[in-house]
Amino acid sequence: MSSRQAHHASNRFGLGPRPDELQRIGADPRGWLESQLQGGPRTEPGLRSVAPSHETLGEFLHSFYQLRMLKKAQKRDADGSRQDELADMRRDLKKSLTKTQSQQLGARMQVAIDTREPFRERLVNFWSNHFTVSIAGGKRLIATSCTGYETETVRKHLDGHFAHMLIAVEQHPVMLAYLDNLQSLGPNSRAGRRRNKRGLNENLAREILELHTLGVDGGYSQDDVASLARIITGWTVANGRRIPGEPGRFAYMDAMHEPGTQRLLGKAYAEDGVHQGERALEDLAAHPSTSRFVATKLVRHFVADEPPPAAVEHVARVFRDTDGHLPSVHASLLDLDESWQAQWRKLKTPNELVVSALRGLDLPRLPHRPLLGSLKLLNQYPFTAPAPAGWPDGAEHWGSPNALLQRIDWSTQVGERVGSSREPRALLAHMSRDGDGDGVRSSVAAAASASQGIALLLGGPDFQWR
Amino acid sequence: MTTRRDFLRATAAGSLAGAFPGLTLAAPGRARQRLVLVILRGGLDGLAAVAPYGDPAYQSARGGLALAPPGNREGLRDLDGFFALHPMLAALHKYYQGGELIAVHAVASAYRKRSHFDAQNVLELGLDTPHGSRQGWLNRALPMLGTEAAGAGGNFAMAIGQSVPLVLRGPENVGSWAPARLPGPDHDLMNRLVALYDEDAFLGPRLEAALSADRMAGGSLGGGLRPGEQFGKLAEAAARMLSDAAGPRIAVIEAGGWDSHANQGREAGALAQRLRRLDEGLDKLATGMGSAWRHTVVLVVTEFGRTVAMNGTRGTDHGTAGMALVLGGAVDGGRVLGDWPGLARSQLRDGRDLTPATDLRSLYKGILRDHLGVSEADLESRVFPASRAAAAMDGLIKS
Repeated sequence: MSSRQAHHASNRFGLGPRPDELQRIGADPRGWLESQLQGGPRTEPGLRSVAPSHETLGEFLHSFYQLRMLKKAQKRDADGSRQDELADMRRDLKKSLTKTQSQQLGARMQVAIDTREPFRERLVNFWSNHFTVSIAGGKRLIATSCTGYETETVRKHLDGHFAHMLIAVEQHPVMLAYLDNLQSLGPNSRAGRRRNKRGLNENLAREILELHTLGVDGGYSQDDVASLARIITGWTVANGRRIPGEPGRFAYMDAMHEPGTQRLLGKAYAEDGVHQGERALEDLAAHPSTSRFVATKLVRHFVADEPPPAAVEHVARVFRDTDGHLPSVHASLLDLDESWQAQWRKLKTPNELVVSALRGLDLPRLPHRPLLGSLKLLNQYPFTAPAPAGWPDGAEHWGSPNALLQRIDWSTQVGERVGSSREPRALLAHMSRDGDGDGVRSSVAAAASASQGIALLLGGPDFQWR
Repeated sequence: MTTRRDFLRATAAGSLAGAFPGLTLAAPGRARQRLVLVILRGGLDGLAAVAPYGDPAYQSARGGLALAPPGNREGLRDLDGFFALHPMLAALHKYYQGGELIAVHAVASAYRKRSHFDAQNVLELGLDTPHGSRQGWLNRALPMLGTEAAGAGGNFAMAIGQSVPLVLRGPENVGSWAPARLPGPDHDLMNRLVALYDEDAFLGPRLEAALSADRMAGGSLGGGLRPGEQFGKLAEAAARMLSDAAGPRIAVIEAGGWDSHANQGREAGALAQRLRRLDEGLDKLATGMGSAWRHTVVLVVTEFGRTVAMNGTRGTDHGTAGMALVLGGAVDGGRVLGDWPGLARSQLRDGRDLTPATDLRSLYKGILRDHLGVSEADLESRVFPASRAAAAMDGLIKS
């Protein structure tokens, strides 16, 4: 019975067991999960190779600047003499971008496959998706800085309060670039008065209210969106030229900032430079709508596509009672009866499917290309969510008939590749549940080959759920 | 290990020689000899492929699976008046008549239980037990194949398929090659998955919807090769590589789908179609080898035979002894070898399976010794330790 509970904990809150995980969980699954929430922030050794985002951003800001200068020069000379130089530079830039990106994403995925604290990693995924940044819209500038963004915001503040994570996110250059706040100008700011071409950009402010804090029905108006947008004008990224500072770092530009008092959700925020926005974010973090919105998403992610209202209320109450202390909020998920009942289940996302399969198979370290190729095939390549709302979190989205066939194809291919080195019956001990799931157990045991057995295990229905 | 990309680059340049830099064109001794091992995974029904129609118990023991005797329309293709090939094995019958095919019956590995995985392990390890080693018997044999093999690095022996099978795995370097298009799930796997998804109220109907949409589109699932195309493609690729003077000498090909528990059919049906594709694939291999066919041996093996009687779902279950085929221009063929234990109930193992009479390792040894020149001493001490009871089979190879 205890191995059943261990398996349940590993699947529901972790990333699926590695071969030794059930044994390590032992008879106290809850203790195993709680211990992952304690002890404060950790540095992830697997991510040491990933450069901080200000370095990668600064590098690309510099390259893009050079590219722009070269283009200007070409236009001026108008003799085509710089054509080759320009083409070379574009190609080099693209090549180095692709290489750096796949190295980072591969390292990030390997962390998920190797980790002994999979509950933390799941929470990182959850918050990273809550505060989505994506290159799907063509924001090439951030392509090599998304992994750094995740480390510097979500991982860094996973053991602190929601408000701190929120501020770190909204002041992060990658988020500011993704949601177009870099050049948002207060109409009455010094820069705004000088140039009337550009002005206020509401994109980030709207998503802060709708997606990061209150939720779409959280009780804000269009005026609040405009107000928050004015409050965070001047939040931008240094480039070492017009915007001073180390390129790629957050910069507050007073000259771009809308002066004066702003009213947000009925409260007045006096002019206070960058602190005006920080105070607004702190208040948004403490708003009751935020606690409900975040709790709903957490319960939906860990328990059920249709979150039971009482469960949501419990998590929301802990959020309010602890001022959004994240370890307490995360632990409150473990209080829910539903968390420990098998009838509640979630369809694994493609990322969770691939990671849980690779954890279970315990293969020697794979090159990055096939790892990431699997996610591309199954339509969840990292940091390419279709919209700022992040990846959808529900079986209706991920369990379409065609998506199911793709999962089966993928499982077949994995079976073909690893059938000669993995014994499917040995995998059953940790990769399927005792008791129910007997269908898959006997099917795998009766498979015609090891490859087929692995395809049945990974492609069968039981393994699609967590 | 030679990757597919290396291989494609070399072929794009017009010659295989670039892909196999360790080999010289005019190697001495047995350098012309080629060996292809074909592993049929799932347990081929040996009594369907090579039917002992002359056994007095044949009709009664096989019941609904007994094939029409030779001379009938779509009947068996006679070999020696006692054994006959399945009607679908037309090309193999031609090779038999041309003296290039030996059928060996009542053959089995040392394994005596009925698990696919363990049986395949024993088949590929060439040992008595499924878990004694992680090195396959072909990998153990590689160092015995002379300096040429040692100098060729990973290019002397090749796995043709998505992964390197256990028989080739081990410390000796081997190569692998796979076609660019990956195979999707075959019908057998899909049927097993459908049975599992049937129990899932959410995913079951969705899989059904996907399958019916796919049928309407006339597609093969997920863009993979159609089931059955795969073996022919691999066989052609093996022939292309092995027929090159600078190419590999040894290739292993796998073909799945032999686990015929239900509706296996007789002269026509699911198993008949599989056999037809196997026959076509082996024919392609032989044709594609060109002048190198004279120096080639193809060994076709499976992990076990199947029950003699038909089961409740018009198929057969896991059995013990089955058949093996030795094909090639270098083979002293036109014969059926192996003692015949008989099909009468009292002659069956556990009252249900064909009783093993020949150890598969006798075939392995006979071929390694007489075709590839591995010494008897090396065979007994290094390739197949503790297997003296299974003596090398004589007379498989033309002298």
